[in-house]
Amino acid sequence: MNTLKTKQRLPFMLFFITGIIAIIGAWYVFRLIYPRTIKIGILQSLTGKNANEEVPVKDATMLAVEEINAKGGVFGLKIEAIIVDPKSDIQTFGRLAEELITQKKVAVIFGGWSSASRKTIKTVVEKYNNLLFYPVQNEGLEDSLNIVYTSTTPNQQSIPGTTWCLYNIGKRCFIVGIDELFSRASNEIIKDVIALHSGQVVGEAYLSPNNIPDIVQQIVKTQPNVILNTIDGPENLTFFTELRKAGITPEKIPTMSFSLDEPDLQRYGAEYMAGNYSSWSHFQSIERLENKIFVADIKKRYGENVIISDAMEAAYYGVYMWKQAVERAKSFEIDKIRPALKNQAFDAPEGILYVDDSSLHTWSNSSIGKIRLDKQCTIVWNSQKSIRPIIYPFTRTKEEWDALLEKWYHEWGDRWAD
Amino acid sequence: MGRLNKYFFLIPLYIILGSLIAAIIWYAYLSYSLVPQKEKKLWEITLEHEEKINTYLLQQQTNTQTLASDDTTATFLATKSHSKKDDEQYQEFLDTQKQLLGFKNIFLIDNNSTIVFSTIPSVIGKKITENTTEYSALKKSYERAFMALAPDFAYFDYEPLINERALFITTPVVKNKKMVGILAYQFDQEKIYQMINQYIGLGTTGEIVLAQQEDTYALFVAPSRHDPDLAFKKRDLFTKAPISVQASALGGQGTGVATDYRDKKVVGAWTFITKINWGMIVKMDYEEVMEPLTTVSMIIIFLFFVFIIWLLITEYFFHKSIILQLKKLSQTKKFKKIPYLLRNPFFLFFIIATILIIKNIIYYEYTTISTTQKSKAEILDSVDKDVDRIQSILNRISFTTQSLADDLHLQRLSEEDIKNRLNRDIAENTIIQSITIMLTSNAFKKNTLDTVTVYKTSRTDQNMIIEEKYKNEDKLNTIIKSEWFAKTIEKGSYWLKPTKNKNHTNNNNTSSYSLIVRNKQKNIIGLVSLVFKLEPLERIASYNSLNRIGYSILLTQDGTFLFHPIGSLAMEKTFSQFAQESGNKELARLAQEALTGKPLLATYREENTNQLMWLYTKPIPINNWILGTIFPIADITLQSDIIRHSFFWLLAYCIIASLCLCSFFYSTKKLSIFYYILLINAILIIGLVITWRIIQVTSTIDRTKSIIITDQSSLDKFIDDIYEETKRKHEEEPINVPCGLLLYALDIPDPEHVSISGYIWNKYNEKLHKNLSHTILLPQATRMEFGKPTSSITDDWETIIWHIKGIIAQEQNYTAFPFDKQQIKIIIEHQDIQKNIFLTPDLSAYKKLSPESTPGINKEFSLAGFVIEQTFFNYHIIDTSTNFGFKEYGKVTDHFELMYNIVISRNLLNSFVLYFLPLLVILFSLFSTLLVSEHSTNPFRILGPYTGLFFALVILQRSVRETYPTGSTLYIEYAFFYTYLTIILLVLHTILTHYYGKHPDHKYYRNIVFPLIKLAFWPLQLAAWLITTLIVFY
Repeated sequence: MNTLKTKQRLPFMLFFITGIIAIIGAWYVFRLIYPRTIKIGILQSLTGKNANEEVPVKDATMLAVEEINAKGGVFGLKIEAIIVDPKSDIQTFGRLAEELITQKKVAVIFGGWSSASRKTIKTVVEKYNNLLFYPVQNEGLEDSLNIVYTSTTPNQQSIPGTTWCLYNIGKRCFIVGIDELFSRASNEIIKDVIALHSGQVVGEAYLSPNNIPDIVQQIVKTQPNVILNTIDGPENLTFFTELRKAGITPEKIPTMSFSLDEPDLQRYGAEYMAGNYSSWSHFQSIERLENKIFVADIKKRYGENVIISDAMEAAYYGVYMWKQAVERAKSFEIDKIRPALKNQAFDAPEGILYVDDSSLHTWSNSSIGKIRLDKQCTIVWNSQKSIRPIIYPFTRTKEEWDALLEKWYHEWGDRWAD
Repeated sequence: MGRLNKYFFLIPLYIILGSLIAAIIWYAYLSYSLVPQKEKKLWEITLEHEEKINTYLLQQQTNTQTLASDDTTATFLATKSHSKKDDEQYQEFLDTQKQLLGFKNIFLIDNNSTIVFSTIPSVIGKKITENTTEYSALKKSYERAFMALAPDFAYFDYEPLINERALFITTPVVKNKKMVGILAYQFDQEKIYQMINQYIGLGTTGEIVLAQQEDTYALFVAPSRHDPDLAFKKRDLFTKAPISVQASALGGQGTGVATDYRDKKVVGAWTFITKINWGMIVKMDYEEVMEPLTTVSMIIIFLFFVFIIWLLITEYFFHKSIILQLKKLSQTKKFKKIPYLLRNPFFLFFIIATILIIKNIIYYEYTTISTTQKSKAEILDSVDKDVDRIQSILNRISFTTQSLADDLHLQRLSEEDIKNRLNRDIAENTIIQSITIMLTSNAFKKNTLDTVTVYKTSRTDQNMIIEEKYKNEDKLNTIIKSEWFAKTIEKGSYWLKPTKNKNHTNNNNTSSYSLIVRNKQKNIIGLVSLVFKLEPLERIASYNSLNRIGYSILLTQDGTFLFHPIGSLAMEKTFSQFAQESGNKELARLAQEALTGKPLLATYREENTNQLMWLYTKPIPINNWILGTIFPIADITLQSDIIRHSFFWLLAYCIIASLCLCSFFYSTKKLSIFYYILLINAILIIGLVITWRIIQVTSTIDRTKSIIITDQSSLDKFIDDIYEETKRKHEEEPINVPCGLLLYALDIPDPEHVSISGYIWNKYNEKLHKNLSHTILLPQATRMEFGKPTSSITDDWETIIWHIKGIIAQEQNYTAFPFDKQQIKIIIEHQDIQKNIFLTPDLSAYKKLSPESTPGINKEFSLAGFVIEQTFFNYHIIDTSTNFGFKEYGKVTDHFELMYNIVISRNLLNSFVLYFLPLLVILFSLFSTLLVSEHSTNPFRILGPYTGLFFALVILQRSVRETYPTGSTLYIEYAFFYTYLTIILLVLHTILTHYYGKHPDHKYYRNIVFPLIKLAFWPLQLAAWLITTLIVFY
């Protein structure tokens, strides 16, 4: 009787065990094919006037994503990057940010370009309590609980750059810029710094169509010791060409630029710019093992001709900072990630950087490079250690800075000029 | 046995078996969960400490800003000149603040970097950018705060202004919207040390370690529980081993199993302390974390033995029924279907043991190859990185020269521009010594220069542009004929072979790079030449992060040394000449091969040390200079411990396989019991002899805390390291005094002393060693007679020789007796302890330096009962426990002692005759007594010899103990213990035989147990010795 029962039970047992094994196997195969993911948004222009500058930043972000995924992702979840193209249009940055958060349900957004685009995205991420990792140098004067500013504030870029010029070149300065938020705000800060160090602003001018020769003439007339330049984009080429035409060489009156990076030199050529200076936290030529690896990895992935900018580096380590914060918070929730971001450190290509404990700006290095004909820069000064970000320079009160921003906003027709 | 009795035995057996299985499951659970649980706990402790430190730092930053924003501070800094009263008033203000804020010192530095006030009055008026070295962290922090207008935390480093390591916060001070200077606030790092000196939850081995990155090193910044002297020791970063300190010092955070600074396996959690850029590691020894596993494994072993004993007892009582069951089982059809060989457990064990032998051989070979490959790869990688670093320095020179030449070619520079440019280029490139531009009025024609304008600036006369115009002068002809000019014109660009600056020390050697300038018609119109310092390149070569025995060389294209640890070779000799003069043809050939412009990796035998060396050279692409490294192969082979472990396992498996094979042949009746036992004894004896041989070959002395000096290069490298370290710590330059030793006699009168006789000498330089007492010390001497010194003077050097004769204290370790190796260490010190002196071995006085050639020992010398294996000099790293009452004691040189070492191994024949032979005789006597005991009717006749042998054994053991006193058990004593145990068992056997042996009901005892005891006597003795040997020497 017992034997019979055992014989009857055996096929059932076999069937049961095989079934369980089959279910586990199917689940495993399913997970291999469709791994669990966490969505992130990448918001950089792939078309439009800024595409040339923003596409490499998107590539650097993707390199970090790929590296993290290759090492197992975040908490075992692969990162799924949703790339959207705001077409270099300020309003589209805001609209797409909202789409990424509400429709694509991304955990975080990496991107943004001009200060105006950041201001547009800021309203969206604050509204939905999401997080933006912004990789471009900024004018400060803004502190949001929903933006991690991975690049430099003025006291990590334009302030050291200006002070260096005052003490190494001369105290008579001519300031040039363009009529947009970063340039305007940076120039105000620069003027304060010059005054603080008893320097002299011999002239200040903003580019408008066809006024570059006039500005150059002003420079020739005022004969400053140094030109402090916050011009962004292709206008730089016109400006430097005109300077050279007017006989202004770097040996006579050098220019310190705050928005001219190595990819710009690649695009516009370095013939008229060589010998001048540029200030950034990261230069491709920084002599550091981590930087060499980063440069080699970018070139291996995107081609030998890629030139690395400060924004690319900031975009790259921003993804790692977010990963580390998520792992420390053990959550993807913004309110848990935010405290975990404080003091979060990363051995970035430029040096060891960390998020400030009183804001979401990063402690970054500061370097001054001398532009070479080979479109790279030789570092002539480096902070050797990251510098604490100061959001509102102490030369004025926060209220005064806010009032100034509001004034410009109204002057630009209740919008941020781009 | 009745039914009740059966359960009486079986139920406990099942309970024991159940407990054993439960213990095994528990063991498995613990082995997977212990480390993650501990990591979690350590991470919590890490976060707790991180928060404490961050809170403290934030508090200090707030204090700094409070002080800087106070109007008193700003007014003081804004005032251009201060009276004594002003200083006193500000000091009073600080006194009131000090209690509230808790700072250590305050410095007020104006915009010109002059200290206008300090709580240390002696520094007032000093400029922090002058008279300080490049290492000043305060200087750099001042610069950051000044340029970025933000509070800054300086790196924790030695501050020359105040002669101590210090932590500063610097912050800008503003008055009426004008920058008036910087306030530097020194806070107390001891507060942080106190925070980490708490070991709650860290067991007995746990500790917290703090480190920061310094170039390619991790610099420990605080003392630790295991090493109170850990602060300011360095270890290489970027090694491939998973070292937690590396991760944390580079900004990482995490948990895991890692290797710590003691090279111990630890479980740790690490994080990065922002602001001060310190890595913090909270860790515990892996062994302690896994301690519960040891307890469980002991329980498993205990349960296993209880189970076996209970099983045997059960088997004894139910022997018949078990045999019956087994027979039934073997008769079943299923059992018979199993192939015959597989049915035999001995054959199965033989197969398993053979597989394990093969696995071990493969594993050993793999480990040997992979260790060598890994070390080789690390060294190649290190050289490659340094080549990159040198290349980038030379690139900078090349770029600056090229840029000037390009601008001159494009005619973009006016005369004024050239002057500005030269000034700026030299200010921005600290490596450049001078820049020269030569421009001709017309295109350059071969060997003639009509009119030349020369612009020159040099670092010594900065901002002074020398502008000279030459026209057909002799000076021009001299320039034309010079090598650098001619070669530059010929080749277009030229890296000048450096020459030694005879007026200065090595650090001022220079080289130059020159480039022609063409006009738009491509005619040569001049050249640009940059003279640059070689010091940064030499520093890279000397810092090459290898072990202390390996060293680096830097060569020019033609093989001339730019850097060699033997300073006199630099710029003077080529690599090839050096090799030929050493008489090493093999090295001379390699020196030529290195110049072919391709990387070279080769081995050669060092002439002096007879060591097999590895040479790796790699050209620097920009100018074909060559960076190389040389190191002994022996340093990267497997450690002798690992070799011994592998051999022990291999031997154990071989013995098991052989025993199983014999048992298999015996079980298949192919061997008689006599040959079977004989073979087993033979296998065990061979195994024991091989084990002893392995022990002899693989026993080494502990060298972990010493730096062995085997040749001039390794000595020079050590001296360079010492000088570099003293320079880094801003200590006065040390003085090295060469000394030597030659022994004529050595004896070991007792285990705690060694008597020596011979000569010792010191060499003093008339210029370098002024005001030094001409005396030497042997601090271990309990009694030492120094003969009348003999002095001889050659050139500037005076050699003073003493004859010495006396006794020195020497602790010896006899635990491994008679396979012990002793290292006799003779510490040599200079009399002037208070001075910064360190002794160096006078290697030039010895013909051969290889440790195996026993330098420092007279050739006729012999030591009874011992073989002298090696002699060598080394530097022993010491933890100074006292400062001898001198405040400044504890400098870099005070942490090293020069030692002369004699490694001796025991002559086995003596020990064998004295101790093993009597022991074997006792064992033979015991065995003989056992053989005849069966036929004796009177037990006292048997017990008598046993008692006699027992006393003989006691006397023998006492003799061993008295000759070799030690706190622990000597290896040879285990043989005595087994013999004692044998005597006890034999006495027991005699009693049992007397009472039960002849009883008709105890056939089992008489027929099975009696013969078994006789047969197993020697195999058990030998097996016990063998197992003990393997365990003791593992």
